[in-house]
Amino acid sequence: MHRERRNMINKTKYCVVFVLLLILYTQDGYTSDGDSIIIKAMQDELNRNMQELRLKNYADPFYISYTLADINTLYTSASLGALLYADTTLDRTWFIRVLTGNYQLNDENFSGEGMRNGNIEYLGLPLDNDYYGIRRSFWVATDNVYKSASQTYKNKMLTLEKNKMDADDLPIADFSKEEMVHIRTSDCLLQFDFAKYKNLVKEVSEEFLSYPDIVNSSVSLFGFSGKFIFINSEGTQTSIISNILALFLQASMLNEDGLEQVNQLVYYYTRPEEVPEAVIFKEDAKQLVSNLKAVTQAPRFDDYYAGPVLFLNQSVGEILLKDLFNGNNSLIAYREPLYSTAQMSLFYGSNEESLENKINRKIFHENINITAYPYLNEYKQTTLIGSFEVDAEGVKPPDTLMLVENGFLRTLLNGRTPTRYVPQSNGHNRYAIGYRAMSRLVGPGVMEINYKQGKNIAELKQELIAHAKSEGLDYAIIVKPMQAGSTFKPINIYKINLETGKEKLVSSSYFNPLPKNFLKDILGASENKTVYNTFYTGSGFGEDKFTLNDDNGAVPSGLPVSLIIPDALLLREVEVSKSTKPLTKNLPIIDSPVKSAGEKAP
Amino acid sequence: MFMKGMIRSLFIAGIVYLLQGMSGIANEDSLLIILKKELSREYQELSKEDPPLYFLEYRVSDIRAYSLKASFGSLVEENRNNSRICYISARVGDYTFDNTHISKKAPAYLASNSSYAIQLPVEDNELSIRQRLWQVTDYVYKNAMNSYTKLSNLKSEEKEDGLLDFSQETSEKYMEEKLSKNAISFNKDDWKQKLKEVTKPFLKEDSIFNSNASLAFYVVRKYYVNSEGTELVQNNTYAYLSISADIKADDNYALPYSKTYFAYHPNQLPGKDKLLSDAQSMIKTLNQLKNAELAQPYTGPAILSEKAAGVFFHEIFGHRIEGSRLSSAVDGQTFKERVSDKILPKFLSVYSDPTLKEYNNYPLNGYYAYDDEGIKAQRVVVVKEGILKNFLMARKPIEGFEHSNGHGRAQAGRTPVSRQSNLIIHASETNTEKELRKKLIQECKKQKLDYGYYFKEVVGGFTLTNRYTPNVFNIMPVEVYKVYVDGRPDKLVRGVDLIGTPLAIFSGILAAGENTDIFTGSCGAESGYVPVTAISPALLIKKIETQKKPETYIKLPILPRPDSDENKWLHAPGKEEYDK
Repeated sequence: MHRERRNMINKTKYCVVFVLLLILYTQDGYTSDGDSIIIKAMQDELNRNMQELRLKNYADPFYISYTLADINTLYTSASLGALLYADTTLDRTWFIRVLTGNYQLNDENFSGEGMRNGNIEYLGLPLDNDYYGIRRSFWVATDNVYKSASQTYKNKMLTLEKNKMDADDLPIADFSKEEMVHIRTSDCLLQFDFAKYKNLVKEVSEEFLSYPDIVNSSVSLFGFSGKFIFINSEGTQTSIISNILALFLQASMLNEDGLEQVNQLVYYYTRPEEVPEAVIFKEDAKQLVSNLKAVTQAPRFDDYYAGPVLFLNQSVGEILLKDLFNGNNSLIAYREPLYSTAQMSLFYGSNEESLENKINRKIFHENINITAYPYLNEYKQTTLIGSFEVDAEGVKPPDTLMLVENGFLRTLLNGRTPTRYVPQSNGHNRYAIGYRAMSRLVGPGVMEINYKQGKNIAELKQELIAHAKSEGLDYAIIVKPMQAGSTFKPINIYKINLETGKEKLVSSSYFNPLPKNFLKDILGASENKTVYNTFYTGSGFGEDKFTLNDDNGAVPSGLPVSLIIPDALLLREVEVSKSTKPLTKNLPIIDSPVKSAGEKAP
Repeated sequence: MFMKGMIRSLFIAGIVYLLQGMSGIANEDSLLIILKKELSREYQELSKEDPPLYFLEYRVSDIRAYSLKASFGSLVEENRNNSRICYISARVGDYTFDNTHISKKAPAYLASNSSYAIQLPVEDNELSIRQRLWQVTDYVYKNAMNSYTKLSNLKSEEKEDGLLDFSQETSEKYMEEKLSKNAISFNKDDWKQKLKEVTKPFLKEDSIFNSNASLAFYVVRKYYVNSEGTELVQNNTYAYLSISADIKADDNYALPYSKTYFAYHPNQLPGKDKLLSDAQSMIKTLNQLKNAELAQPYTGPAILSEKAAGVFFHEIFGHRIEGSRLSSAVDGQTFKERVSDKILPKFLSVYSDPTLKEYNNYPLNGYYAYDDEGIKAQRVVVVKEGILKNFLMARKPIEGFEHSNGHGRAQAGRTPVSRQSNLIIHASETNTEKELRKKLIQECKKQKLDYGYYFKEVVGGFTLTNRYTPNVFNIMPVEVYKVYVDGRPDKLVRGVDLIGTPLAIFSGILAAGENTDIFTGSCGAESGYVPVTAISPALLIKKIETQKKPETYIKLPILPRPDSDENKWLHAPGKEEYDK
């Protein structure tokens, strides 16, 4: 009896141990913190380099910053219930900045040769917290960056001398002085539950087996958990965590010409517990298929349209992101570098005037306010993926930052590179993420675009019809995304009958570039706001035509951004053109195996 | 040194045999069934089209890869990957004239756009895999059909050469069992520790600015099915280990040195003690190289060590006996019209033998059972006693060689062409090391030279075979000695590459050594990278030519290494240089 009880106790103990292990190893969890060794190694090496790194006849370093990033990546993808790919990786990478000269005049903001030959190869950062290994890696990298920076600085000074300029001729400082910041996150790197997500993508992707007309489909999940440790020679020390989980659901069908029409749903989360069960995605997958069917069967847009267009929800976000934050004349400060030669200036110089020349001037409709809320992490129960605490230069952004007030430009987003009218950082030089990678980019975080005295969608639709009629048009156009629970949805284009108000889906069209001042001359916008979460890559927007619902690929990259936007925007004049029809049809010669299997099934 | 290798290899051979599995005894593989099913459905329908599909093939490489890298005692990389790459190729027309026909009047892309590679699911899910195969098969068939139609229109203007566009071969069936988990597992933590320890000794030398040790293990299961009825499944495993380091010479030249190891499984690679001892010997050689004199351009006799001769033959000879290239009008076609001619000294014969798993009990990287066109691997006698007999053939015939001999090879997802496998240079008359040195010195005296060269270690080479550029080769040695005629000890030199033109060299091979050794490498050409070996005796060449290596100029960091004793670094060369 006694023995039996003891056995039972033992059994229970093993069970408890087993369950604990199971929790530790199969659920999303957080790794233990080994930052102190890393920070000590970085700090010791930074101090040594600040004190001792010198090159005779070259300027000394006056500022050094180190970033060490631990990046945990998960990527898994499935099609029709089978895994296409599954991988988790842990990478450790760094970013180093060494400035020579001084805050007013240093090696940055100069376009001229600075590379030195003969640098030795970078040494990889140890994956474990090996104190000397980390120092060795920063040692070599700092040396390489310093040699290049000091040479660049020398070249810059020679350029000034050649052009008979001195520091006074350069009224804008090269690097802003900012307050010292200390932030240390208590969070640790997220460990993804690999098995759970593999099963999730497999299960959701199986849904497409029920639709034999789908020619291609996949479900992918990308997880990024990055810990960024930043220190600089001014005493700033920050460590922050950035987590993103993105689920992509994609399917395509052929239209009557055999052209593949692709629809994609994208969901973004910042915490594993936000990711819903497979059944939720499957419901959206059904809607995605019915949207695809409607699009492939919709009549071709066979016209040229120039007139008012009403954009709804995500399409508003896409247009505003493209217009407000792309190019040198956007809401992001742009500093034209000093060019070493006139030829370089001609070749590389910007053709666009920076928007900062219009500070305190009216640039948009008087009803428009644009404000940054970097710390806001939720709006109307939607997670804001663009929220952040401190930027990649160790600068804390202000709680709110008004960029546009009643249509008047007040300031621009900036990092520590001053421009004439934005001389200080407002903490928006942020960490951009990618597949097993990180970089830095000045760009938006959480931005609210507010339209005062807005109307509701029904009223805007009536205004759209009225404007179209007044311009003698036969119909008007409304652009809206498919209804689904995802963040990113397919966007459809509808013709509206001006008499009945009925909407008719059309396919095969694209937009011509929007007029430059379209936000100054908008017809109206909604009072109701919605969230548009997306990724900002900072790439230019110089297309000669564009479509909305840009393909996101299967891995997000860039800055996570949240725009809080009016859910409708009525523009005065947008041009819509028809896409070219192929000369021959390209339908498959034989049926797909999924279709054949469906036909053979009882 | 070579004997020691043999003893270790005896042990290796036993395990390797188990690893490779047995042929023809296993149950059918589920992926094979899926591939066959879709291929059969596609072929049945598309062969009824006009113009008809007459050949369809699917080749899948299921690759599991794991790699580690350590640097100066720290683990800096760990990667694993599992992927399935499928190559799909379609032919329209018939064997005599199809969409791959090379026409001088048509753009070259027409003959090569009927294949495509995609990623397949890593699980054996029938519908998911077949859906992907279906999509790409439709695409490649339509491309093949378009090319065929265009080429057919030019057919009447073409001069007939009587050659088939695709050789007719017998179908094959062969299947190896899946390798068990046990057969491919190994202790990764143990290897992480080992690589860290092996790279640590390099920290002792201030001038060594780079040091890595890496391990890569690939488990490849290849599937091949075609519409002629061939069905193949074979396993290949490759474990590569390398230790490399670079030292800075006083004149700022960067000098690399490395050691590489190959086995079929990481457990068969050398143990920690051997690797540590090799690391120590590398440090010794690097220090010698650091102080070695810079060699000047030279022409005269030289001995190529077994490994150097292997690379030399792979480059200057091996790439010129690859049959696919001989059908190309842009190729130099060095040997096309030389069959039955004496092209090498009578004491040399050359074989290409992909069927060999081991040579003197040492594992061979160029082994395979069937090539990437589904043809059984064959031993090919390329040169018999100096006379050219044969070429390495894939399924594209050339005049006088109408069939494949199992050398159609490609990297996963690429179109196969004829490539080398295990290239074996056999000498019927051999010399001891002493005799070879004696002959070198005699030849130097004959040419009135104070010294000849001994090329001991090489890292690789390259050659150009097309007729629009000079047909040259370049071998990259890292350990080269001057051998003096007056009896002075050999002297290590640095900074030279071995260059030349092939035909001039062939006639100058004077003698061969009695030992052979294996150079294990990865060869890149039109069809991507394929694993190869070259096995050769040392060779005495009457006249070689060297040229200066491109300069790799390096400067050490300004500050001493953070983990060095400060006093030791007070006179760090890097700092001194910059202070000047």
